[in-house]
Amino acid sequence: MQIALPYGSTLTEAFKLAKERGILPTWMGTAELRELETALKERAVFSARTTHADYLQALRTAINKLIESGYGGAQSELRAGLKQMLAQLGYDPVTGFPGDQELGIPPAEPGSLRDLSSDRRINLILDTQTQLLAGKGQQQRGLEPAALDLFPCYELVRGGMVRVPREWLKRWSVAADNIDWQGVSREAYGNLRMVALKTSGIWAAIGSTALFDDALDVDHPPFAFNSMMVWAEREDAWGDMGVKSEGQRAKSRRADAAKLPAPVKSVNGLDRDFIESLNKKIAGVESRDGKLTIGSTVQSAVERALERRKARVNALEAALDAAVLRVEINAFTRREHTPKRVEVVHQPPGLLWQSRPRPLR
Amino acid sequence: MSLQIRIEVSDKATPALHAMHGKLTDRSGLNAYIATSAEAGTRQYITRIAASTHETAQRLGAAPTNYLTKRAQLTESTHNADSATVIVSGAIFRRVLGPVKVEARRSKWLTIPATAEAYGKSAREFNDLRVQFFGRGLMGLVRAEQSVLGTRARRGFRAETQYGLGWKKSQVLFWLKKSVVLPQDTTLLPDAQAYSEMGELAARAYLKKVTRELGLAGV
Repeated sequence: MQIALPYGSTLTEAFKLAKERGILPTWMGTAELRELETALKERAVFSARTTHADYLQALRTAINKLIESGYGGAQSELRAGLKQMLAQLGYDPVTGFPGDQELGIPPAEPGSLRDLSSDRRINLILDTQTQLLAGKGQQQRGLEPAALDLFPCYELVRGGMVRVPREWLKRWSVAADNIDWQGVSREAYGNLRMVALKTSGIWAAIGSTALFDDALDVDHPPFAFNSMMVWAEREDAWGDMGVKSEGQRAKSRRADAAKLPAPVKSVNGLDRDFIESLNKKIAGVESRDGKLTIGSTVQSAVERALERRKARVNALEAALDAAVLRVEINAFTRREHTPKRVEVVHQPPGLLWQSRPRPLR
Repeated sequence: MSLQIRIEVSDKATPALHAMHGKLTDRSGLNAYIATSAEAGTRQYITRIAASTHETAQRLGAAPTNYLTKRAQLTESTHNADSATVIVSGAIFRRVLGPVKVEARRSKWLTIPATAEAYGKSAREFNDLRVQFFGRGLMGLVRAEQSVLGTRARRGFRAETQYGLGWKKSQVLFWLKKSVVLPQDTTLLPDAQAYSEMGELAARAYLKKVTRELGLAGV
């Protein structure tokens, strides 16, 4: 197999997701923000206690650059740029942005997590938003039919170093108990590993604030603030989830989203020009009786996704030439083909990725 | 900036892949499996090497930035009737193709972290740095109270007389360079052998799927 290495496109799915986001500045605290509908949060970059739209725009630009990670995507440079912008906007940890005191926003201790200009705060926002977008993209692609057939399970593993690791095995047990271990491998847990079906409810449980205060209320990595936990695709290696015999049907999360009530956000208390800015930035927004909804956006996204899936299924059915394939499959199973040597473009320093080819039945 | 790894099947492909590839009129389905397998394999590979690649952080005694892990999570794939493509984003992966020369663009100098305090940070985040000349073309950024500009000390002026300071050994936070050349590193991505195995795994799974759909299981 020859591998060509062209150098090209700058757009990735996560980058596109980031570009489709609107801006949702708010003067509400973190606890109040959690009450917002999940669909609205997925479409907005939000930073608790940040009120200045210009700074949020700069945040969004920084996150886009971080995902792209070309020239100028270094996190340290982006952080320095954001600090500079905060200074230019007149931000001070104690007094906040000009006008914040009138909104009753309490002062922040300089250097703390509540200080918008602190390294801790900026890194937290950049890392969390980037990881959320990446995790969401991996989740969406992981539910495609090919991905479900190849890798029906995820294993939760540590992807990077953290200063104070959480006890994820204990969290896993608590979350699994919460859903009666449905879709969760007990055998893997006995081996101190966290493996579950992609469609298992444990992924929502382990990222839920109902069980863990530091969770992000998501069903994909990173699950919690400052977490470096990631997904590794897995086959049903433990055989205790019945995947081989029954298979796992692709669950259309987009279709499920259509059953959710349209998320509603009250704009009471927001300035008129800010409401107008939100109307412009959040596509498909309707404003009625002092409330914004994005129900039309969710519905249209679901319809587009279903159409794409239908087209893929039709193409697959049309492409299979059953008669020719039947003959060739018989010839193959009689082992008339001799194995071919693999063309190696690079001399491997060592085989670093092991697959486990299974014999044909 | 993204690097695309396009996987194409040749005559020397592994058995299942060769059998499937030659007989399908539309290879979109097969390429979907190959793309998925290659994406998962690439992501896991980068995550695994990220756990052991903290040379600079360890040398400086600094906390790792987890840069490679974050890059790994942004791995994606696409496919069409002709090929499967894995996309990795991050300037670091240019090193796979060959040596990379990094030059300063918006400023005259590159700033290379020299201490744990500076690692993972930009020089712009410090407001008390000054340039220090060390001779033989070496320049660095040090704290302002440690900076000794020019060569007045060599002319016999005593530092504590001229600047009111005792002579202190300067601790460089950043070295200043016009450019650096990062050597090629092919181990940042899986090799051709690994991608061949990913393709074989995908082809076998796709073949099983097709036989299952056609009711030929066990043939």
